[in-house]
Amino acid sequence: MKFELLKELTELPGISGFEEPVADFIEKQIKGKVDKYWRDNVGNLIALKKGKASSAKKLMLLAHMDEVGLMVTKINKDGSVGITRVGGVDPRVLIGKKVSVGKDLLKGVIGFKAVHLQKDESLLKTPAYSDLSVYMGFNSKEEASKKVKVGDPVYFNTLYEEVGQYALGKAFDDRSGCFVLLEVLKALGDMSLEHDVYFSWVVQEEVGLRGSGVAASQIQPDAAIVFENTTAGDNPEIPENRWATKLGQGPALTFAHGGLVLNKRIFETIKATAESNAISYQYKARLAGGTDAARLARTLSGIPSGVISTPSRYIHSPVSMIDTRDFSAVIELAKILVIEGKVLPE
Amino acid sequence: MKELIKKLTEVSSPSGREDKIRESIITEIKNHVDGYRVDALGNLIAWKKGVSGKKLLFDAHMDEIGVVVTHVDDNGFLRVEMIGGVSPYVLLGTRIKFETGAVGVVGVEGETGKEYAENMKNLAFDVIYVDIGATNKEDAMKKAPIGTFGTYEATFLDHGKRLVSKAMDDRIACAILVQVAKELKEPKDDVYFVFSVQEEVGLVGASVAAYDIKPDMAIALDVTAGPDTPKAFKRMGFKLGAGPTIKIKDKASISSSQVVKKLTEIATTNGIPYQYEILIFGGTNARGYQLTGAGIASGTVSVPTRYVHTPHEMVDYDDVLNTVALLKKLAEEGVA
Amino acid sequence: MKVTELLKDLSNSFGPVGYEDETRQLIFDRISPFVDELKVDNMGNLIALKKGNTGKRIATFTHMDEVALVISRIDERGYARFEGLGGIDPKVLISQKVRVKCRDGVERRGIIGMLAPHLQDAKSKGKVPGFDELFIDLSMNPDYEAIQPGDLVVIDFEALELNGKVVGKALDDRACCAVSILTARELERFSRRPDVYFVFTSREEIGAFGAKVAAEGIKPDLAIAMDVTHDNSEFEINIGKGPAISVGGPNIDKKFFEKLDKTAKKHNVPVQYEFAAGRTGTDADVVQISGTGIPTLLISLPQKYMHTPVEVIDPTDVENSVRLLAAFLAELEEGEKDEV
Repeated sequence: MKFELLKELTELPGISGFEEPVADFIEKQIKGKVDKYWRDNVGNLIALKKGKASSAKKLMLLAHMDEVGLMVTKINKDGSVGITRVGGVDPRVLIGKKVSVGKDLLKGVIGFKAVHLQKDESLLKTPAYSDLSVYMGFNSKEEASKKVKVGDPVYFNTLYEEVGQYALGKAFDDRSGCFVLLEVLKALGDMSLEHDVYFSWVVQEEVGLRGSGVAASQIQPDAAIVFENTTAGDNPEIPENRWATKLGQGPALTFAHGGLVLNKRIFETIKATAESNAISYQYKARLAGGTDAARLARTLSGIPSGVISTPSRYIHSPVSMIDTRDFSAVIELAKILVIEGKVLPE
Repeated sequence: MKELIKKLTEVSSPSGREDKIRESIITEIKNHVDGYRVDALGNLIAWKKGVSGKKLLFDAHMDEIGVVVTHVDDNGFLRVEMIGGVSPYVLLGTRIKFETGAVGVVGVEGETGKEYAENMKNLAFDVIYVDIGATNKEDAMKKAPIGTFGTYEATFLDHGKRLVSKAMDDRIACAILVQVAKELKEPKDDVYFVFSVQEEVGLVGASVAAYDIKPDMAIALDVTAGPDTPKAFKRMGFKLGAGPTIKIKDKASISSSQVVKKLTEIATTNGIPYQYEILIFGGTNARGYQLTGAGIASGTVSVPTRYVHTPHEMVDYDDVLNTVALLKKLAEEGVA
Repeated sequence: MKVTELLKDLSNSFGPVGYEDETRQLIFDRISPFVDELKVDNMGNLIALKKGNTGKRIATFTHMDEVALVISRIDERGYARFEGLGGIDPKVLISQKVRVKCRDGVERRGIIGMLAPHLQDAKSKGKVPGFDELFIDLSMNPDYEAIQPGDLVVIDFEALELNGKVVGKALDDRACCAVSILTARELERFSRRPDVYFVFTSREEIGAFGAKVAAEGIKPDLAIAMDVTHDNSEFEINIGKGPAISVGGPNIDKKFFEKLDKTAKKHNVPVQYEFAAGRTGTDADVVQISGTGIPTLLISLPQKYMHTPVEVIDPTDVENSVRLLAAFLAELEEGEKDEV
């Protein structure tokens, strides 16, 4: 196993609003390696490696801890549990899957009416959330209510595995970004940089970019780099000119996405750094989707940022896939950018 | 072998009217087998004795698709229905040869421009008619009375590597079996060559042909689609020229895994090219053999064919020769 | 042999329609201590005979095969198209990890993926991709070129227990195979019993091919098919309430049904009743009309989410089915001499 820590990170339960287990885990990894760290009012974990300079510039690195998932909306008479989505979860990815419910991670499955009982016309219709429920083996509402409550979080239940140069698992969006930050911290070691580096593992990106602005308001950075995960559309159902990104072509650099055109100077700096260090990269070639950069741009007096993503197939589903070579290249690029600090304004 | 293929494909024998083709096959095969008989349904069963005590059965269906006359109107126009899977669209530009010798062409109804366009968009047998050049009902009744069967009229075309004719489904298989009978000198098992009837209307002949034989293995020989044409079915990948196909499944049956294994083994050890076939529609006589009595291990070997069920089905001659080689080797090495 | 362990082992074994070898071997191993003869016929059916002493011959039919997929085409980049082996709802396939059993003997990985919603247009969000739009991403395997059309695919799902229920793939119909195995063991307790042929059939999912030829080969005096049925509030069949027995009608023998029902009442086995207005969609269909005809019964285990990887079976229903079947077989000829 090449990325043991990534395995542990992706397997943790942590949907938007319930990120504590992830924050606790990361805190354990950074203890003693930073000058200070704290949890803020919404659950963000922020750590600082202080720079040498008297009025040091501040560089904020950002990744979000939350993954998409589901939530209990009601307990049905037959003991099954009604659900809705937390973050962008297409109902079509849920059928026939194992899930974990609540703080105690009770096991359940999401089934569907047998094919024999469905009408031909509706066989290929996307099911509504009201057609789906979690079955946990309870025989009645009464029995279920003893163990499950309305509002309980429901997590995908997927084990991480590496197959050749690829990794399969849940929540690469954005535990892979969380991992990048930990690797940069490790690389800094005892290094003393001119500028301050703030590592922010934020909450609730998936439900509206809600944690990043709160973190930035405490840090007041001069520039930021967001480490994310982005869709690779390279499959046979989509023509190549609409792929967005592709596995095996390196880190994806974003010049624009939903709600924002990224700061040009920072974008060019990231690009130039990749080129001068012989790191192959690709562009995110479609504008759909968004990241915390859009929130940062609208925080305080506007924080300029760059976005570097690991391309991933089948994101926002119980099993996505990355090419670990792309991922390693993101980590390489991140280390150089943070050490050199060139994304910071003069 | 091309003469044989031409001879067999040009015979006009739709399902239920296989006499002519049966006679042609008997003429070709009788000096190369130890015996033959015709069963109650009309299946032609020929055999060559082996030494192992085991029995191997090869099946090719003799019937082709066609039409039958269901009505003759006062002006001498005929109505027809299909025998097997005939598309009315394919009939439009084709001539139909009836067993009486009459030849017909096809027209479409339409009392208004709108109705004609509607009929063309949703073409069905009840809005087409056949014109055999009769001038009145009496004339038509003499040339093609109700109950007269007919097939496409088409002749064999030799493009060298590619061959075209009507009824490659399944006369190419009949030709292959005849050729195997001719070339096979020392069969290991008793080999039964079954030329079956009425496959196209429901795998009828094959459902009973093996009942008394009880072979250890039965292999249906048929044609399969040729999805190597522009924008053809994206879920299928086999092609003309890459060898006979060993069928994994179609809509009628899943080939017995031991048959797939044996055929793969024979092809591999003898350097015969082959492809695996998963057909997402259609079926073959293998189903009939699988379900006979207490069950027979059965599968299908297919010759890739383009434009199946039209008057111009196309095969690759090398595929045909490789199919002969594959079956011959199997008969020589035995099923055990 | 614990019921839940047996159910999970059977569920996890690999046995797609037409390729049931691994499952058949597992059943062979589990039932052989309790039967006298075992054979595999030309269709791949496993027939296990427990000899009796009354002279009558009864056959039970449960199917080993599970619905699965087969690769029909694979492109240079390692994406495969596929066809079903048996009937599968495409909705159940999306976002699943799969196991691919290849002809070269190596098992490989795959994902049936779907594009994230951000990149989809409004029109396609309302429709589920069907077999013609879905694909298996096999590109993660370093040697994906070795994968060929004809290689078999099942959803990678390990059976689990939820509050005593067993959840997993292929419990249709392996849960009933478990009933057969456990009945063979249970019959040891009875001194008088008929010859029982426990038939584990192949290819039920594409039209009961296995059962048809097995019935022709055995020609029993009575046939008892066992399959699963839908846990269904409309017809009040629920898991945990005992086996569902089909009431006498066109496909089901009325006299033997009465006997079965009486046996259940006598031994306090909870049962539910299911009607069958024509064919039942199980091995019973073909067995009843094979050869010169065979009186046929159908016992069904209620199950949730049939033909998905998360089928649910209540082990108490399995245990009650075993009690019922063993008692029925042992007491079959008590009294009425002219029945069979």
